[in-house]
Amino acid sequence: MSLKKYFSIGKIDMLERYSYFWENTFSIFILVLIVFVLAKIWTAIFSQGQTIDGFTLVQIIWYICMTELIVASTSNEKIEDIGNEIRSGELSNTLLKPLNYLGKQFAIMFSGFFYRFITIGIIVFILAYLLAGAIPLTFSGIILTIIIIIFGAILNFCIVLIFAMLALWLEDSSSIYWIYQKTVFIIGGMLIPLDFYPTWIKSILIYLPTSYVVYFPAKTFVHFSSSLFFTSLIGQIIWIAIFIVILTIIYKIGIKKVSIHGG
Amino acid sequence: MADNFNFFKAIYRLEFKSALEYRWNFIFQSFGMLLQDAFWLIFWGLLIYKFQSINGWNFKSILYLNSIIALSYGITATFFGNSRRLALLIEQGQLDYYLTLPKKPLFHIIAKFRYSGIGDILFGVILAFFCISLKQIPLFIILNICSCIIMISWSILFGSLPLYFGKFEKAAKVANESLLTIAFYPMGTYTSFVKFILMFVIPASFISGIPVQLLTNFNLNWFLGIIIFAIFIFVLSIIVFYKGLKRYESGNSMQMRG
Amino acid sequence: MSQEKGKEVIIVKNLSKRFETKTKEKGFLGTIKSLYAPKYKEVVAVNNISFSLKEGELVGFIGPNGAGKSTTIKMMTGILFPTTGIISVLGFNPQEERIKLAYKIGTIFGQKQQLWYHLPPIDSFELFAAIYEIDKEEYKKRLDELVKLFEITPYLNTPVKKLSLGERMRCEFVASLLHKPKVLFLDEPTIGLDIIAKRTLREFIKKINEKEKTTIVLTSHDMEDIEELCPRIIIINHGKILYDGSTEKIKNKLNYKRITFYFEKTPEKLPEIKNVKVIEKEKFKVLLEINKEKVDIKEVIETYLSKFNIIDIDIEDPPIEEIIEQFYRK
Repeated sequence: MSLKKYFSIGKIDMLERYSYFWENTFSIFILVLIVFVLAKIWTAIFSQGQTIDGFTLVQIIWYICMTELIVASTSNEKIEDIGNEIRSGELSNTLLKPLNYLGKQFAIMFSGFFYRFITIGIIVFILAYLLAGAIPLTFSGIILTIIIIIFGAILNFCIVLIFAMLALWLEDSSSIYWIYQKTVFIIGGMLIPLDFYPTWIKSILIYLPTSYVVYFPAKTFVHFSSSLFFTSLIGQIIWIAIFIVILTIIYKIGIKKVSIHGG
Repeated sequence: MADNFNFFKAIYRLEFKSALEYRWNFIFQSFGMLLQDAFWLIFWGLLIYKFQSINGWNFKSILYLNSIIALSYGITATFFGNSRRLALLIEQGQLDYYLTLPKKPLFHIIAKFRYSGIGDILFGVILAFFCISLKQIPLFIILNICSCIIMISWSILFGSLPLYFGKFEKAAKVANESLLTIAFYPMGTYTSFVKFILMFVIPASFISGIPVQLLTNFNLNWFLGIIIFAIFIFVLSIIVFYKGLKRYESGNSMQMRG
Repeated sequence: MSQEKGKEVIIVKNLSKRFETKTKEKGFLGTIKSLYAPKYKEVVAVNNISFSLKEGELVGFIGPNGAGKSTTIKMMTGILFPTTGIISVLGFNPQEERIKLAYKIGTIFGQKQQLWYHLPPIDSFELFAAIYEIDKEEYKKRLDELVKLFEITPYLNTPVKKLSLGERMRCEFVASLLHKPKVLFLDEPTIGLDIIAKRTLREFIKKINEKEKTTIVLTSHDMEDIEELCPRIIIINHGKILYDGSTEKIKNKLNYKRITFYFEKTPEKLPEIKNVKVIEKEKFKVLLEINKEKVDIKEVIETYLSKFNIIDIDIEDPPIEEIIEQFYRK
């Protein structure tokens, strides 16, 4: 019963997105340009046709495309809205509704993610094919990679919600979130696979949640192996569990704060 | 003229005072930006270290790049903080307020002191300290000014579009950020078609690749080119804004609700 | 309340404003269609209105939302350009001489504030002095004068966010008057204020109007504001002026009040009182309209209180639309 509710909210949100025609077009144009630029840089680096840290040029280009796709699909503009909602005490309104507030946010974010992933994904795949040619994929590999991507998205949503909740304590959490997003480019493995970093740096970064949103899903795609699959999945589940606990705690503290201050 | 100067002084004074009210946020955000800029630098440093040089770019060029972008962005964000919010302000109906005051609205709107850019300014200056020689200082300053002008004009261009089209705020935001995002990766070798796009469709080259080129290897033509372009885009942005304003005032823009 | 013979400061002749709005069908298909083949509909917001205001007049503009009130005011301040017609404010054409005009007019929007939220009002005042290029000596004198008049001396250095709404509004007034405007546009200045603050603010508005002969254009949904302050009223609806004349004349139309009584137990029969009309009756509440002039509100309340167990009472003005309708019925 309640799942249906969430789906209908998600659907409305998806319909809204049709009116953001220009926004999406621009985003896609920029994305294509960036991927293109990055591909050129990597082509220059791989000019001798070598393999670097386990990656060939074809693989690195597909890797970049995947990370860009993931980041573009999970980038969430609603954090300001959530932050404002929470701060203005609207939270107390939703508390009265049978909908679980967090659940509602998940539904909205998920619909956004699917919509973006599919629309941008088509373009990115074509682009990658044009730039690098085909990459060997197995059917089971694809299915399992999709699972990792989805879990990565869920993990990312948890992180976004935590930032949004911070709005209860900070005047402006959107700028911190922006800083976080930019940092993910580096530590999440978006620009270069974590394998390219010095070993000691890599060994720290792969335990961070950010790598489970970007690096592991993209790597699973280009370097699929069952061990990689399991490592990624387990890491994601652990982090998701940790964040759910943190979120519940913050949410409870937040509710107390909102009700004390009269919302 | 003197009155305008007083006006500028007065606005910034109030802005600064207002920002100080949030001392902790001030420090926190400036520091955050500085940290993030440092991250980027380390990142590029690692890449160069690993790959020696990328398309002729070495560590010094990375330093030039980061210092110009950080400094000019910092100045833009700090002193003209509202330039990136122009679209939002217009859609929120705040334009009317500025129109009831006896000043030309554009400057008044974008002039907003946002302390978040101070971290970037600091970073840019520190980097410059390491890579810019005394002889290069005048050139560096001019390049930064051009870069600031280009960034602000770009923001105004897209920020003015809600005056022509309806809900444009999100698209404007994307366009705004895109300039900076692309500016960070200038190192590919491109076909002339792509070069053209990176100069005249999204002028990222003008705030990254070209200034770095000029600092490494000064060339009078490119120098003049950057100045001319900066003036051109500035004038263009002002025209687009004020033309849009006329539309707004005639009630032909989507923003006017009777 | 006789009008002094003064010169006309605002002249509006045959003013019209037409907008083109996009019409869009519902649903996705509608959105896509509107991108390719947009359909436009012409909306006439202001339809050939004319009026003029003399120096020192205090005029109330009333009309329901969307009636064309704010459109007219926007045209008078130069924010919006007319489609046809002539406007002259203080001898300026607002469309062409917006900035020159801006030096001589002041605006207060009850719902938007001009003062900087985190800073004490004195800082905002200084900024305004710079915006309006007020001479330093002049500014000091004027500030002194206004601060005394509006009694805000104790709040000058308190951050605006710490002030009550009433105190803030008084400071907003000072800010708008620093440059000695000849015309003041007040849009819902008393909104959200408690009754005492409202009364105080009205006194200040009257004082300024008398002292400096400032022409004031007031819009408000609070009928008492209009009654207390404006000897002249202009009623606008559907872009046309329905009435432009003395407030006295239609005062009896403004003399209705609506009372909602909330009962613990639904009454079977309501008392019949003369000049009291039952507008709505629901399970636990009843909405009455009473004619203030003919019946004492207190008596009505007392009658109901004595007969029933009343949990709550709401008293408000009838909505403007009703007033206008009634007025038209005449």
